[in-house]
Formats: sequence, structure tokens, C-alpha cells
Amino acid sequence: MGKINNKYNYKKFKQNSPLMIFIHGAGCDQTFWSLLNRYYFFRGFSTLAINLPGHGDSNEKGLATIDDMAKYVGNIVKKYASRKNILVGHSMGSLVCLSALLKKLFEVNKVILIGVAFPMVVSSSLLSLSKKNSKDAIINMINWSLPSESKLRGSHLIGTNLPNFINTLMNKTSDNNLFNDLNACNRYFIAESELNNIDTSCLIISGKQDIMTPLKSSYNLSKLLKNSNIETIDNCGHFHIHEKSGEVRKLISKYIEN
Amino acid sequence: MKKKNNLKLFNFNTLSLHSGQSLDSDYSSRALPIYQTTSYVFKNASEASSVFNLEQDGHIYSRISNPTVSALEERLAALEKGIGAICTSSGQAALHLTIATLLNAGDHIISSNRIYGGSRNLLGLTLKRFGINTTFVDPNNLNEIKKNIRKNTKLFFAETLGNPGLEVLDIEKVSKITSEAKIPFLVDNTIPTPYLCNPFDYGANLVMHSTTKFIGGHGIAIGGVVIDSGSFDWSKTKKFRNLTEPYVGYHNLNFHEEFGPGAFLSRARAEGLRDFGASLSPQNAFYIMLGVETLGPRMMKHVSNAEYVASFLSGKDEVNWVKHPSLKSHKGHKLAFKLMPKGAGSIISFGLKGGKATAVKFIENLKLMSHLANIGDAKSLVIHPSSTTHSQLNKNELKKVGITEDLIRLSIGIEDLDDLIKDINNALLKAFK
Repeated sequence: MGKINNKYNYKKFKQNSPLMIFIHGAGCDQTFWSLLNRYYFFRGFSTLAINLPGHGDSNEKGLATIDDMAKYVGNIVKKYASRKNILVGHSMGSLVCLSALLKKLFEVNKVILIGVAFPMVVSSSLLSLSKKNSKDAIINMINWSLPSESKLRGSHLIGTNLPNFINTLMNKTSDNNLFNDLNACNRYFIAESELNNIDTSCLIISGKQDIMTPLKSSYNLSKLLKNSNIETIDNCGHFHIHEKSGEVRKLISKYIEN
Repeated sequence: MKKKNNLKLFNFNTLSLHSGQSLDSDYSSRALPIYQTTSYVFKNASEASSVFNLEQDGHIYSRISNPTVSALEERLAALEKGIGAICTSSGQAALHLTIATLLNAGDHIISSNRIYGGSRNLLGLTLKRFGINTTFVDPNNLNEIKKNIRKNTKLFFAETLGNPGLEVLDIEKVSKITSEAKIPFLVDNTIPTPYLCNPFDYGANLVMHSTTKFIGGHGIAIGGVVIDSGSFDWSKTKKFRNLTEPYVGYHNLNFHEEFGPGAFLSRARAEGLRDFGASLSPQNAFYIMLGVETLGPRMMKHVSNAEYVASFLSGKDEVNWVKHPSLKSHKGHKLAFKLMPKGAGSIISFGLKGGKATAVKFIENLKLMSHLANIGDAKSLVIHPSSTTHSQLNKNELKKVGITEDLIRLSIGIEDLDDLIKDINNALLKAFK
């Protein structure tokens, strides 16, 4: 039997194929990207979807800061980096992308930030709930993340109940890590001047009904990143990839093909 | 995997009316459209190959998925609190699909011996020919379950309420054993329906239904479903290589690594529906969906009628014994109240003085109740299991599972109660004339 790799899911297309690196958000894991990483692998990219420590099948101790997470990602990426590397992050994963860029941990040609806010302030009530009872905190997050259409009326994913699926996915992550993640997001600070120094090309994708990382906040970040563009998706909350997988794929493909 | 808290975004009846159905983008039809089509036009060649290769979601061919069927799948998953579902052409097909996805020749199943005769035949006779063996146990004898676990045991199967004996399954206790032994626990929840019981709340990993029964409720469409809670971690044991090792069928796709909690359903659809083809037709999905919309109110009436009929039969001199979990005399009365506080379904088993001959007379003299091989219709039904649904069992087996020759099974419908009582009374009078 092949050993399950509980740290990441790497698929090599060809030597020197461009590499897409996927970094999940708070409480999620690498399987969050299943609707993207297989798709791009069969379009000529090598793909690397990373489990941050303590997430999904990873048994490692969770990390407390965004910078530590970026270092962890950097160490894995170094093994597989190509001549062209594209970083893709969702929510907290987007902050990890920004940290990797600022610290120049590896060569990045393009960045896609999905559901990002700057600053990524987490309410004190959610923080304390996540510390006390991560299961209830996950339920609150799902409730805020999904607009009613996605909660009730169909996920566009064949036979899948999206709220229950996300609830199950997030409960795979070990108990303290949701608090660690949310706290790391809340405490992550970058001076605006530093953000102004980033000149890597960035695409920001935002859901118009996202309450977790509101549109206004995504626009704020876009203004600070001089080489960035923002795209919005109608009737979409915070789980863009699952709520509107087709639209997300279209936006990403258009961006990376240009 | 740790136990998750349930989402309570909407309540049962709201979910049963709305969940899973997006309004159609062309005409905003309020009713669920019936997509009576075999196949779907691809936008371009790239999309075609991508959907075929499981790189993106999308319908290809209605043997594998169909928008009408998918809406029903999502709705049933919502009602059972699962991550997703696959509808099949019958309840038997749902059981077979689950087994065929998880097990291989040489593997072993432990099954409750208090199950529907058709399931018993599949497990005990047919699957044997394909190298899958089943040991049947008393589902509430926990030691017997433990004793029969083998290295190659890959599934435990039981019904929430046994058919036709109405034994109540202690899902919580059994799930502790299966969870420790890293064996997925499949519960057939057909008789209670998700309105009365959610097995996932008590530790079951997979749930199946014959949707032909109470979920449809009209007796016009055969169907089944398997629903995954997503709670079983396939990677924690080396047993489930169908999900945790590369599959040549999709260019070495590792379902667990790629789809995480969705691994079982992805493989069951991509391989099981593709290769065995026991899919639900869109027309039948539409009929079953009509039933789902009124499941809650119907089950309330089923239960209130059944509880009254059970109590009425208990008071009759002609009746030897009555089994319904609402009766204090029932072995599983307390457990049923814990698992099914709104009621324990509307199947009643009872025996008349005079044995089989009187039972047959009684059945033949019922005018309102229909004598047929089904349960869960809105109309009341009756059958004599030992000579019909369970007739493939030999005398010893029948005795072991408590199906006596005098046993009559009623499936109480939602007619006016007075009319049901009159019908039973008249038939009793004639049977004992």
C-alpha cells in the first residue's frame, strides 16, 4: 500500500512545468482544493496542495503565526519549486501568501488571493468561542460564510450538501488549531508601506456576499498592492471554490493565461 | 475523526421542501424540473475531457448523475445531516453500491440477523458467489458482534428498526465497537426515516434507505439512497485501499488524498454508478421528491395512527402478542424513546391466536388495508412475512430471528384512524367466525 502523505498532495506534471501552490484557510486542509488542483494538473501544471501542520491528516503541532506558516510552506515549496511558481491562497492562506512574498521565501510569479481581507480582523466573540468550543465556532463560521442560496438551495456540486461537507472538513482539524489560525489572522499586521513594495502580479477574488472577508476590505488590499486586480463573484459567500467553482476556475485561468 | 456538532441552519420541514433545489435559470420553475435526458451537451472539447476525468464537476450521462436526481440527493443528505448522497434504482442497489465500493473478494461483513429478507439474500447468498462472506449476529448482543470481527471485516450492517421484528438497534453502543475496530457502520434507516431518527447523531457512518417506502410514501416509484456522514477516516487503517490507493481507472487518482471526506461518494459514483449502472431515473427522482416534501407531516400521522392501532390490538382477546416500540411491553421501548422521541415508526407485528391459518383468514378479510409486499405507503398495508418476504429462510433461521408462522406485519398508513380500526375489527370477527 502506498503511504498516505499527510503533509501535502504533490502532483508532478513534467520537469519544469509551472507549479501551482495551494494554501488553505483557517480550519481547512489540502482537500479544500480538490476542485482546482486536479483541474490544473491536467492543464500542464504541477500542483502542490499543502496541509498546514495540525490540519486534516497532519499530526504535527499547529503554528501560531502567519509568518511561521509561510516558513513552513516555503520549506516544502523549495523541494518542488519550478521556474514559474503561482501561489494560491484562501482566506488565512492568502495572508500566508503575502507573508511568503514579503519575506521572499521563494520565487513567485503570480499570486491569487481568494477571500482576503486586510487587516483580517477576527471578532473577539469568534476568537473566544474558537478557544472554548471549536465545533460551535465552525458552525458560526459556516453560518456567516454562506449566503442563504448556498446554505439551502443547492451547491452545484453533484449530490453534495455544502454546509455539512464544510462542517465535516473543518472538524478534521485538531481542536486548538482553529483558535491558533483565527488568532494568527487577527494578529497579522503588515505596514501599508511594505504592501506597497510588493510588485508581484496579484489577482484578488471576492464573493459579493462574503461576510467573513467583506468586499470592502478586499478592495482596501487591492489598492495597496500596486500590481493587483480584483474580480468579484455574484451570489457568493466565503467558500468561493465550492459555491461557484466554475466562475473561480474561469477567473484563475484567464489570469494565469494572460 | 472527532464528532462534529450539527448545523441547524434550517429545520426539518423547511429542508424537506427547499434543500438542494436551485431555481432553474431559464424559467424559474417553482417545482423541481424533470431533466428527462440521457446526456448533456459539452461547451467544448476541453470541458468534455475535464468532466470525464473528474477534474471538475458536471453532468455527463444520467447513469452517473442527473440534475433532478442530484437535487434529491442533496435534499436527502440535508435531512440525514450527511455530506452528500447517491440515489440508486432501489434500496437493494444502495446496499450493493456501498458494499461494491468498499469491499473486494475475500472481505467480510458482519450483519444484523434482523433485517429485510432481500438484504439477507444479497448478503448471505448472492455476495458469497463473489467471495464476500457475511456473519449474521443478534445486533443487540454486543459480545457476539465483537467476537465475530475479523481482520478482513470491512462493514457492519443493521437496520434501525428490524424488519419485521421491530428490534431497536442500539446505534450508540454498536458504533463504539465499530469505531474502535475501524469498521464503517452502515444503518438502514428506512422504517424511521430521518424525520424520526438520524443515525449519524449516534455514531453511524453511512445511512441507506429504500426511498420506495416512507420517503416516497406513494408506492409509485422504486428507489434507494446511500448517504455519507463523512465521519469515517478511511486512511486510519490499511483496509480501505479502494479509497486510499491510486486507482488506475482515473489515472492513479487517490480518492482519499484528493477528495478527503468526499472519497467514498466520489468513488461510489465514479466507479459504482459508472460500472454497475443501478442509477435512479429522473422521473422516479421527481416522484420521490414529491414524497420528501411532505415527509414530516405524513410521519406524524403514520406514528399517531400506528401507536393507537398497536394499543388497540394489545387489548383484543383474539391477539396473542403485539410488537411496536411504543408499547411498554416492547423490549426496546426505552431505547426507542431515546433514539426516536417523536415515535418509532408505523410498522406493527402481531400474532393471532390460531396461528398461520387464522392469520391468513384475517389478512384476506381486510378491506381497507392492501395485501402486498411493501411498507411505508400512505395507504395501510399488510403481509404474512414467513410465507412471503422472508420465505427464503429455513425454519431454524426463521425461529432464530423471531419470525413466527403467526406473525402478521402491518404498515399503518395515514387514513382516518376510525376507518382503520373498523377494518381491523371486521377482519378479526371474520377470522374467528
